[in-house]
Amino acid sequence: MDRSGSLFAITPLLLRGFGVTLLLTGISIALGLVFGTLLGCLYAWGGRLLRVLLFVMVSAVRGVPLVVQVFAVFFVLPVYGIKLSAVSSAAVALTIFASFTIMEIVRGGIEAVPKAQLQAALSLGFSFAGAMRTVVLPQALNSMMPSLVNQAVFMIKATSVVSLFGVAEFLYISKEQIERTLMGFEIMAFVWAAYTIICYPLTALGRRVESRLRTRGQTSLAGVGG
Amino acid sequence: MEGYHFYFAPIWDAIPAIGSATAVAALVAVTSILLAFGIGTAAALTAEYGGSRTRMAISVYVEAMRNSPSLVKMYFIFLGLPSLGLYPSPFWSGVIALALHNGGYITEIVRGGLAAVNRTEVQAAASLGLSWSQTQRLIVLPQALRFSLPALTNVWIEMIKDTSLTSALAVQELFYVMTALVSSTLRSFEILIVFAAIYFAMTTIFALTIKLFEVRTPWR
Repeated sequence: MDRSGSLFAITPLLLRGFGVTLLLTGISIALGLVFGTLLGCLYAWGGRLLRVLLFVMVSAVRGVPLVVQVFAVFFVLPVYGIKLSAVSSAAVALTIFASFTIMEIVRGGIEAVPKAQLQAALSLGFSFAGAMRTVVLPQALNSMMPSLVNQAVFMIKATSVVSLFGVAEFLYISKEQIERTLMGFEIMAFVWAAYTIICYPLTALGRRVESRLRTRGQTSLAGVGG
Repeated sequence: MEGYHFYFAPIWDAIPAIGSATAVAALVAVTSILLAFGIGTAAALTAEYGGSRTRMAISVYVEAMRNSPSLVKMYFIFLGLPSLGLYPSPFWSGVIALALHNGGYITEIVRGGLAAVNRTEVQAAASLGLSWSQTQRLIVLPQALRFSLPALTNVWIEMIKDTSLTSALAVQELFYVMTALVSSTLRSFEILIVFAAIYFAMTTIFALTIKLFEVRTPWR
């Protein structure tokens, strides 16, 4: 078997698979941010029943492997008469997962803002929505940034799970090409490098945001003390 | 969903298979958790006390691990190493991939824990005549690990869930048996509920055990 130079020949094919991976990640993060923020606000301000319900949901999402959740979407939605293509099912499953993990981040961010901030804003005559928009949420967003960046990296990696369900993303295409060309070492090294090239800058950004937040926290604390 | 009737009979028949699948998953989890913990602690100590070149090597390892999915490492070991004449079994490919991948996270966590231990403790130990290994074993590591226990627990729980990924290499653990059962019985909904519950029980029991240990262990 001629193995020399053929990695170059299949590179466009592999990169198209990587495109699908990034598309799935992009969709699930974008939708996850929307639903996650809504759910996070509901969790932080909702009634007891709502909080219990959301707690049960997030415990299920966090306590059960992502593969099992993707499986649920692939095989249980048809029971309800909802039939989707493999890629759409994968997008639905990843979006559900992203929504609940981002919900936890948003709730944590909101709860990290001292209650006195909201009370002070309300006593100054802000409406609840106004106080939230101009006082609480901007501060919450600051403390959420490191977790959100880390979550983005996590989602890029987590999409690889849907390759087990025949979704033609990066890992699935790569495995298919290994079976065809037997270049396991070269192809997997390529895949490993490609993931690292995309994720490393984000990981570094996450670390930067986190250390900046910590420094700022210290200076603001020093300001209060002085 | 109106006309759906739950039918759990196929699951009672499959209990022996489910039991052995749970045992395999637990074996994968325990082996890879222990290996990852060893790798992470060793790498953290090496980075803490090594020269700048070893520290560089450790951070290259950490970045290589946490910027790609653990599945990539599984396939690299299982499908890539045969090109070099090595043929690891599915079980060990999965276990080693999980251990190396999560070892990277544990390295960072334990390094953080080591940094949180007061330097004067090391000086005090030295002045009492303790050797380097005694200082690490008796003074530094117990404190550093206690500092890092919450973060370590999160990684270990991720690892328990990630044992399901070894089904990609046909390791006959829970998820593998689950898909096999679904295709042979077609009771996807019932089987899903049972297996999700098993995973949930494994992660919850593990988390509660650590919590108990955390409470029981006296601080200092």
